[in-house]
Amino acid sequence: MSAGLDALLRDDGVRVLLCVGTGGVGKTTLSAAVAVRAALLGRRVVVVTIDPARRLAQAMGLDALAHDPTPVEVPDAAGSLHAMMLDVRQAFDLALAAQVDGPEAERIRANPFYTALTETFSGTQEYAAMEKIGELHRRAAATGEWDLIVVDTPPSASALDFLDGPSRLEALAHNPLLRVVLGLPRGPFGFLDAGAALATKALDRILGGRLFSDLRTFLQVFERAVLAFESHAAQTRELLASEAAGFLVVAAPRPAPVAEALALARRLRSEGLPLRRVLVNQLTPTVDVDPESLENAERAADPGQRAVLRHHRLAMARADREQQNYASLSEAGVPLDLVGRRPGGVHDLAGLAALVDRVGEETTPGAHL
Amino acid sequence: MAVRAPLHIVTGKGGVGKTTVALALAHRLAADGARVAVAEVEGRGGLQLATGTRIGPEPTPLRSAVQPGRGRVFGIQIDARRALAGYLQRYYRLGFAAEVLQFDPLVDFATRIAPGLRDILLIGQLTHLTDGHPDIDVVVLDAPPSGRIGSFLGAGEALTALTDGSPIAGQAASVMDDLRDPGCRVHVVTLLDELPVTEAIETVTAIRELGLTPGAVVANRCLDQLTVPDPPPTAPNSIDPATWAALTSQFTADAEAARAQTAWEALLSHRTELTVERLPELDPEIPSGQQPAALAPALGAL
Repeated sequence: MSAGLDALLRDDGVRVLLCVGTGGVGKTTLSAAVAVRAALLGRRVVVVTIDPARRLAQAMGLDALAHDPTPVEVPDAAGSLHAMMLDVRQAFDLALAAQVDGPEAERIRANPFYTALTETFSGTQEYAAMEKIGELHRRAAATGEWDLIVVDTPPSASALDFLDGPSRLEALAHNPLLRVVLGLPRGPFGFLDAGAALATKALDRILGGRLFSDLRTFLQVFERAVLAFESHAAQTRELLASEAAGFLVVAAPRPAPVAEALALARRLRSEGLPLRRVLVNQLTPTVDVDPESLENAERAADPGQRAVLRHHRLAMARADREQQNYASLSEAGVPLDLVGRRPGGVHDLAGLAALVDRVGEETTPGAHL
Repeated sequence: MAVRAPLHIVTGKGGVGKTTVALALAHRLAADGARVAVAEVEGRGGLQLATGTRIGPEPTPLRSAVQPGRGRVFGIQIDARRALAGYLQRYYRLGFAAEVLQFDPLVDFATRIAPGLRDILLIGQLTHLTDGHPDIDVVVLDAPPSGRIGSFLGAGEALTALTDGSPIAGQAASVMDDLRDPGCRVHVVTLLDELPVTEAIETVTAIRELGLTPGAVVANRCLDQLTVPDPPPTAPNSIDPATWAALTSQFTADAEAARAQTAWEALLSHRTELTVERLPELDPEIPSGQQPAALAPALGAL
């Protein structure tokens, strides 16, 4: 049981918790587990997952999760739980509808670039997630439906994409080349007209006339929408940098996820974002046996006993290796929560509740980054 | 037209060990005497971390991969800017390419902003890798995770639809042709557990829908089957009964987990109609840098 994690979940000054980390460390499962735990402790929680494979829905034993908060029954909860999936296309459609009037929004949606952008552009998921956090936060403040938003972040090669993605999308609206092509004011990064002529010529030669004009139409309207989104994004970023927010870095005890988690922790620090804890997931569970008794037992073991003892030795060797792998996480300068691997995985609410119930805590006074 | 080297694309859910399996496959092919380039396209440094070797945009021999014969393993980072240069040189005159490349906002647009274009450039560079490096026999791609593999490999298709009749449409189509060549196969790495198996099945379906050839499904970190002793072993004298109960219940739980893996394997092979290659959970004493070489012999003829 991690008293520190429970204290964080009970702290009603904390309104938003984000689980960040590289793919495959169990971010989706842990964000659900944290949400269930917070609901048990009395918080009114909404958990947002951002995953096209609908893994949270499966992990929570639900057939499908709606794109709007849907109540989830948590037995014996002092609080409540809602869950939802983030749908990028829907988030963009909603944001568009709020920013531009009907016919113009329709025009954007019909543009082939809009579909390509919402479906394939890296950064759109992150952007939509930021937009959704802001929207839920405003809704929670207005209606009091929730007092804690738990967010699972998009699956990405690099966990840092969550922070970089939105600015990449804004670069689309602010790219000086595009501004020139569109005949817009160039802003502080103006360059020579020769450049503009080359850009126009090159785009025309590479993309062809029709595509070029589609792009121009799209960008003209989209630029305004992105500029409008940005005011929300700035508010959300302010929220995420405040005491009301908390980042939980999720890691697994293997070299690559540990390296990513440390890079992420450093980055959060340097951006002034509140890193609260590091959750080390998927640890091999071990049973404490004193070495002398173990050796004595091994000496006198019958074949059945020997199989059990050999298996125990192997689990200990795994656990040792894992500990060497995650030891450097103490450099993150925040407490580590140790979460054991559950044989067969976690596929229902009871399993989720049990997962965080078993969390061990390792307080590390380690050096700050 | 140059004969293209076989291309093995290795994808899978995040965290299942794609990089390790891609390297293991490269070792397996190198053991047969091939010169293999393992490429990554997202600049995340996974290859560098796994091999302890600094990997650049030119094929870099991997320290862990010295083979006695001709076979070698190289690492290479496919960089979007170089890919754009390669693309422009293939399809436009040299002067135009040079002009475009010195114009940063345009490079930025093509490599970071234009939807799908970046992926086309990266794949194009990959399928043309042997143009500049004729000594490479086989290319293994440590590909983006399965959550994004459809949009990555299908970018050519999407761009062709989007740009019908424009100059890049033809080039996007030729990227798809290269990927649909039978010499190009997509392997899906998974763990034998509910969520990764579900995602692996979806991925194989998506690969087939794109008209690409799935290779093998590779099940990584497979547990040894454990036989629960019958009758249950009694507690040894030196271990108290409560501790012994904890030890035997852990043994039973892990035996159950190993049996469950067999069931997931059967479902996986039934639903994908593909061979499932099993890779064992390695001895924890083997350092991560040596894991690919240790796993290579377990990979059959992919």
